[in-house]
Amino acid sequence: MRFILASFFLLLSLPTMAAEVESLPAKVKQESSRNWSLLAVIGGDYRAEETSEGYLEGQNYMNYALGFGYKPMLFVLESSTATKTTGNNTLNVETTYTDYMLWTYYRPAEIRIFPAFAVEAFMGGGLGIYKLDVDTTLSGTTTSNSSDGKLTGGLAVGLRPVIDPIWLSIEVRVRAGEDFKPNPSLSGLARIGLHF
Amino acid sequence: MKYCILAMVAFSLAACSPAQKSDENLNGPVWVQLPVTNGEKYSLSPVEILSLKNLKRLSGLAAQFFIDPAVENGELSGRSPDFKYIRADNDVVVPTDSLSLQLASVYMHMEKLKILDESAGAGSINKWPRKVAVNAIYSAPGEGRLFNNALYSGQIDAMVFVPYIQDDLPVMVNAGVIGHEHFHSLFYKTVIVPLGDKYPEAQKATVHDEQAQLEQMGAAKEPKSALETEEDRDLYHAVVLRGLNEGLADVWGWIYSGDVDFVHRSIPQEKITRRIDLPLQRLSSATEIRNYVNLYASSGQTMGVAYSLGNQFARALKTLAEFKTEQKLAATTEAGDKSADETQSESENKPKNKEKDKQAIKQMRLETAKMIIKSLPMIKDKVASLGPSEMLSPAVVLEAFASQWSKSGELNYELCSEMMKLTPAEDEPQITSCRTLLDKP
Repeated sequence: MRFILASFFLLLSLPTMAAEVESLPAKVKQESSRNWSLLAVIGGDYRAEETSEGYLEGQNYMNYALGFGYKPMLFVLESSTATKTTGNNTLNVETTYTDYMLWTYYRPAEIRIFPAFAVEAFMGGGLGIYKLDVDTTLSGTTTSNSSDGKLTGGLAVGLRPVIDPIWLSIEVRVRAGEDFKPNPSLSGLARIGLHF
Repeated sequence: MKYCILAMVAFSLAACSPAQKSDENLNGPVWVQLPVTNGEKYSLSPVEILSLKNLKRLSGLAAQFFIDPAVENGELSGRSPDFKYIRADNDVVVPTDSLSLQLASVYMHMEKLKILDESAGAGSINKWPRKVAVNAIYSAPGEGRLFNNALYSGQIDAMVFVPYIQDDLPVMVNAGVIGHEHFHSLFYKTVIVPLGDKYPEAQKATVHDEQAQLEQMGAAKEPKSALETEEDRDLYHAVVLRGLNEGLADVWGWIYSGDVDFVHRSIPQEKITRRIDLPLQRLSSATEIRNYVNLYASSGQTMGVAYSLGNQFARALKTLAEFKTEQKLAATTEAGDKSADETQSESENKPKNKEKDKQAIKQMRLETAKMIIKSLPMIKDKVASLGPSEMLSPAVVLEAFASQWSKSGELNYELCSEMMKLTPAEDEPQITSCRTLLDKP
């Protein structure tokens, strides 16, 4: 919870960081003519999670997101989901994780590598809720249960080539949640979509 | 810089939430959705667990888990589990993966078995929490890696589960199997350990103690053509003791779960050989067992003889327990009929009788558990007192029961007759407690 609150304060502070962009070196200053943009992306989020046996294992999450950008900020509403089934045909547990988060990214600058090619670095923080739906099946009879919504938050840094209207990005996230294990945990997110 | 500091503070504060903390230090009962059985089928139901102290680690007064265990210097080591769960409606804990579900199931069963032990007079035999090894890599001699099974190891005093890779009811959820394995710990400490002087080799540390004991007692050695030497006698006794251990453990599994076919639920290939509700004509005689041991020793299959004998013991004891309950019920009904209001119809009495029968069956199972616990020292004494040329009769367990019923004044002619039906003629003299009753005209 304290982490979530701290993340929230970090998010609040991000807009003030935008003001500092003026102090960046001239070569990394932004060059776009329009200040606002729209984003629609899907992605794969690969998260490191601890199993009941105590091992770390990777879990793939599908990620869907819509965003609105106003330079140097980008606000993204996203949902991630993954289903994991363990057990056998007689007794199994299917757990579906779903989260809904609002991420705020700060994009300080486009860095021009070649005259016709630039990359954009970004960083941000997100807040939201997650829940787990658990279907336990025993001898063909399924019992369904759901958790209450729980708070989750995260911080991210990422990079993308500026090839609008195509959005390609990778980012590394550190995420925390009430029952995450490990907490906080690391994940890597790759996205593809449109940015215009 | 200030943002970096803020982020670092955020992560340093992220380690624990209040909810996690409270589950790591439980002060009361917790309800967990788990598979339970009524003796015929399994279904999911919230079960109250009273003794858990740390829900996150599934540790408490009933069981201590060792994941991916190892044995070093005779000591069991392994990781604590990381129990995955949610709290659903009414605060019921719902495991979110199969291993968590199975671990919680084992914990619940160990807690209930502790209560059964106490009710049956075996509360002081074991140390609690019981050690439970999960995901154990175990290779049986000559059989390769073992899967889909559970074991009890006396040397490390732990219940050991190997990975379950079949598509049936996992062993860690099977109440009967867990009850069965738990009984081995009672037998080990009440019979095997006290007989240490008689079989000193049985104390050596191995992963699977009983197999080792049999080997050390001679079961895995090259057979002789007849059971004439001391070694042969040891082999015979090893098989009979193993049979008793397995048979009584099967009865314990039934007493605990109410399931007469519990082995088959997890190991379907054992369907015919392990049911304990099949009619039994009689126990094998000492001579027959000796011949079987002699016959199968050459192919190293004496273990099969022990299991087959064990099933006979289980069926015999269940038959006797039911016979005695029927006698009791008949007597109660007779007394009830006399005092019942004659105006009450039969249909009104039916549900009451059904409930009464259920209670009687439950009581019968508990009484049988008490009888078994009292029989163990008697069996041990009998084995310890055997002379150099004496062979332990398989009827020893029937005499142990008869002797207890005799002491409590419950032994009667019909019960003795039923017992004699189950006893081979050559072993009838072993049932000394019935002699007087049956000799009466």
